[in-house]
Amino acid sequence: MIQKPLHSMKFTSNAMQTELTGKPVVEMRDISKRFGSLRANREVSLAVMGGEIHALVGENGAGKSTLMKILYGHFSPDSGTIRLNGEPVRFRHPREALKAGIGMVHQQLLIFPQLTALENVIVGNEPVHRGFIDRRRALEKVAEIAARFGFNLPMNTNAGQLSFAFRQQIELLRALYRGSKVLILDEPTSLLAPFEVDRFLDLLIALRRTGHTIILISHRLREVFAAADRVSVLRRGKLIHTGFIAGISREEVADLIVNGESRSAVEPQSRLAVAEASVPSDRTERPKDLLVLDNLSADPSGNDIGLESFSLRIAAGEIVGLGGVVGNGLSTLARAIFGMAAIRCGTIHFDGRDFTALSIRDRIDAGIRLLPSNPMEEALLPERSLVDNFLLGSQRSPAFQRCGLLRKEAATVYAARQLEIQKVRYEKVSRPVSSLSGGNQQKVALARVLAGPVRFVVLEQPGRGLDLKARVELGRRVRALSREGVAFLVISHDPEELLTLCDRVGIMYRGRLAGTTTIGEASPELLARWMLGVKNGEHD
Amino acid sequence: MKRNMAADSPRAGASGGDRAWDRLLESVSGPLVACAAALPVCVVISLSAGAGPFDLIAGLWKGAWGSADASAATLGKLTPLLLTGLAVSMAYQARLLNIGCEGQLMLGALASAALASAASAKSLPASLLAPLTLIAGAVIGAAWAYPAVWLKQKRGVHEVITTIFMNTIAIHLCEILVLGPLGDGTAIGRTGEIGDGAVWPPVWQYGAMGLTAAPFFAVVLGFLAHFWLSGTPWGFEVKAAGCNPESARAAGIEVERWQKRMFLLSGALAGLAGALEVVAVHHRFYRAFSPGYGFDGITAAFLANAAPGWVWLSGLLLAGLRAADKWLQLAVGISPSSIYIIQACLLLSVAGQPGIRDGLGRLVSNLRAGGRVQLGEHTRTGEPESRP
Repeated sequence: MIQKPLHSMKFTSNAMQTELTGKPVVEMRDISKRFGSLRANREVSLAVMGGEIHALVGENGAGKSTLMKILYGHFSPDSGTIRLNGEPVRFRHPREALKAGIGMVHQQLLIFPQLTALENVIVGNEPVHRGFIDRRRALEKVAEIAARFGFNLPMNTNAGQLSFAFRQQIELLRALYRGSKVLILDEPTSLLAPFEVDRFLDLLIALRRTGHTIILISHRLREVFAAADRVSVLRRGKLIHTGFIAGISREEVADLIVNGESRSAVEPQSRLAVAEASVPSDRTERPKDLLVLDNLSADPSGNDIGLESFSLRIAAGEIVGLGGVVGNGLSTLARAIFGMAAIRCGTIHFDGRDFTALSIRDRIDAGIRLLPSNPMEEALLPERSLVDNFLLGSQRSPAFQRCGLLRKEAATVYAARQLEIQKVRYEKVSRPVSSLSGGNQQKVALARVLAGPVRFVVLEQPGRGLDLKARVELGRRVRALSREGVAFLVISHDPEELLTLCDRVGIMYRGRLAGTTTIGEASPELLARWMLGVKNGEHD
Repeated sequence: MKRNMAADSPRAGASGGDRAWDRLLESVSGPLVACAAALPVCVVISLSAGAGPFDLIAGLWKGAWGSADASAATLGKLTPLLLTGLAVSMAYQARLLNIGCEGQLMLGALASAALASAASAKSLPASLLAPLTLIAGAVIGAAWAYPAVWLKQKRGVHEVITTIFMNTIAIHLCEILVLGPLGDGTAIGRTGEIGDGAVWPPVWQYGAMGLTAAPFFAVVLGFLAHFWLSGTPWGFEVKAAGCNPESARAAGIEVERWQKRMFLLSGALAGLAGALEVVAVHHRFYRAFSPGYGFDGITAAFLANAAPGWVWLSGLLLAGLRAADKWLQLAVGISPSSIYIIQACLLLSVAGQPGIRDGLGRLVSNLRAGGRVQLGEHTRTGEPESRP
């Protein structure tokens, strides 16, 4: 839907290339890094030119984040050298990288929820006047930067109350405020709504115009092709391609990422690919409703607003997708179904039984699962082992018990099998989840909710951090489970994800359902209109 | 299928072994580093008192383990230290800090002494009186812990604040009670002697006083707690709730209920420590009954990384220090207050452990790039997210 303006942007960016190619700002040469038996980077040589947007793409666990964390001083490489503006550098700590003008925005944002947006921007680098923080000067300086690049961040609001898009602006501003000229962005668009993505890409282009160099890690090739000048592909720790965007097609890049996989497996974007797996239309009669939400109103939860008279029916085996801009009640809905939000009125019926007041434990026992949007904080135990994380939630199951004692061996075998099914790249089942790459953490969270006796699964942002292949795998698994009668509610801010995964899609706007429609009649344009609160004919 | 299992199992076996080793290392490294850090301090104290550089350490060893009497005294002091240490570390499994062990111990001791010294109780058979005495201590200890956890869950009051206040109240309350209704009528401020049925007599003639079963009982309790935590689904739930309450809740674990249970258990253990002191050592309760066992329990717990399976070790260390203080004065001529300096050093180096490890790690990484140290940093990068 936004393809056209972006194409014109691409031409301008290509026109600038001639002046960019002069000298590299960042030059990483023969970088290798091992974590135990895992070779995260193997002799990677990457040169990033001044004033370019350089995209870094690859599968989950291909070593993108590791490479950037080496550049940012989080890790030191086992071998290899880094040059910045031609000078050899060796950062032992992110502080040193920051001082040298390199800033990084992580996949998981580092935000202090109790501090205001402004305080979050200046934290660690506060302007001091006679021993006190000089707020006025800080505000002036930050506001000036924000205005220059078109940020619209409310400076005096607590960060905990801000939407994800705003939190991301905080992180970007923080890097700019510290004078970073090289910005590393790790999956910046994964939680943004489509129009927020466009804004964000415009912002990147504005930054480049002022001489900033941007390294963009992304799984979304559409965005890479919309904004980047050059693209580098990492595969299993090795750099296998670097080149201008103009000289390569999306399909070719996708092929490079998965290398040797058949074309149809790597294009979840094209609906045809999944169509072979999804045949919902030949159903003649609607199976009985599994989950019925009737006139549900709920209090705000977390960073999200509450629900207002929300009604929805989901049948067994049905895959319903709901989208909307962050902060419109999607995450409260997910929590309400799972029993984690305060219900004011209305009912939740599951399989004919009233579930409105049941405990989370009872809902799990009934086969309801939830994948929250931030599993590391809300569903996993980051510091504990993979085994413990698979055991979590099933610790009372007889399969893992003998005479009241836990059977750790059984849990270990179970975890290993689930990791295998979900194709997680891991070193050892005894290592903590936090040692995995972002995409693999997401796979672990997915494996947990899809395993075992499930009947209804709420997937919030299931594709977050997943590469193309993993997303296709996920689609297949969801479809296969739905044929066995498992119903899904997929919540995503990415309409494309909804359109490829679901039978029926809808949009939430200000805590209400703006509308639902079958996949045949849905279009990105319709969804985008609903997201902005524009309705056609329908009223509530 | 079968082949698949076989393929999995060697990996599982190897990682299991690794894990046990890692855990052992993690549990022991804290106390070891702490002791190593306290060593130079001992030398300095020793030299400044005009003794030889290692006289203090030798004196501590002799005072704690040099004779049958000394060992018996050390083991005797182990009981309350281990149990209060266990109390603190069990609460900490649910990420609650019970600073109120001192008060819970005092009231628990008073309750058990008052019960066992009452005239009507003395006629009870030992098989009834002995367990009742201990139960009274544990119940009163738990009851005294309850307001703190109730206030935390209903009103959001931090348990550290409330338990500190409750300590002061408990100590003065004990004084009032022991000088008044529960005293033996004298102005000394003590209860009457407990009935013979409640007394734990020495079971092993070791040293002049003999040894009761109390320290062994405490050690067994420590191991039971350890196996309960690491081996049962309930223990798993407690640890999950402590590790990430949000995720635990989403997994159907009743986090608040576990917090409450663990805090009450903690109070009960502290109360039991007091009761055991009564039945095995003093046979009555008196003013200034505890020389700060409740507070030493905090040191004992964190010296052992709050691992219930290791509190016996840190408990022994602290008990040894306590038992050796008189010997230091008499035989070495060093002021017994030097043990408080040593204890403070131990606690400081445990509190500073992340920093010390970090510093050591950086030192090693500067000496040779790569290896384990980077792995440590790797996990650290995720931390700001997961910690409040």
